[in-house]
Amino acid sequence: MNIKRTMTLNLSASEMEALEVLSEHKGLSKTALVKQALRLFQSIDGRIESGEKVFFENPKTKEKAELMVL
Amino acid sequence: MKSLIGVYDLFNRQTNAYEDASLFEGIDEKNLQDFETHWIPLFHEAKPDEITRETILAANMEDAGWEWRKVESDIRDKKLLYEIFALECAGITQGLMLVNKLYSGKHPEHEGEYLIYVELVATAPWNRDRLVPSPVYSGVGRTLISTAISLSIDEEFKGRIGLHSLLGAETFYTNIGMTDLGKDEKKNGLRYFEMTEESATAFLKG
Repeated sequence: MNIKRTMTLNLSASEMEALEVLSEHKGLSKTALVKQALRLFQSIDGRIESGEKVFFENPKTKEKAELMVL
Repeated sequence: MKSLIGVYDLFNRQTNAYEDASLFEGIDEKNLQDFETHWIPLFHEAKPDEITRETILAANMEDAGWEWRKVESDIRDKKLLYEIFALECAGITQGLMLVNKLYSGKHPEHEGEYLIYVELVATAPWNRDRLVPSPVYSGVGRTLISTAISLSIDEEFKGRIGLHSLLGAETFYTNIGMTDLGKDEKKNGLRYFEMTEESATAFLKG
């Protein structure tokens, strides 16, 4: 719904392959997938910036691993 | 930033005529002022003497405690994640909606796939049955849900949307073709609904 802008993205073959696999898996175009990735990154980064920690939890062992974002 | 994204019809139940309503992406001070100076006083007027879940439900004002100014402030720096919409008619805010664009579906038909999650959606109190004796506009909720579906299509989520329904709105969401996926104890026991791609297509065809 917003005005869209176009950019060229330079990716290595493996990066492009990862983008294609993820796009296929999520049923999205590469553009839509990058938009979702950006939202996810902003969401996690925002929480870490505000002092929160982000964890993954193994549902069986309840073991937690902290997600580090550079 | 607030921008006009479309003009829709709302049916005025008092004049039996359709009126143009403007749908905006983003809200501004006018919408917040409308909420504070027009919506809240009506909620106060209709507030039952005894506040219980049942009396609030009967008065059709389960969302009276939502603080839209705080909502707008909280999402101001999170514009990639959230979008907020306002529907205006007759120069006043008739409906507001907040959606989240990073949410995965739970419905067996599209489990794990992205959808638009409707965090909050509300129509002005003067449009509500039971809250006022003679409600004004009908179609506000339907227009805002259509907007969420259109955004879902725009984001390549194929019309899929999800939401936790307030008790008094469950029948509405069932009637528009959403699937009831049961109570969610993490959300105060509210029932969680999702709309599939097929239901969204049927809904938009009307």
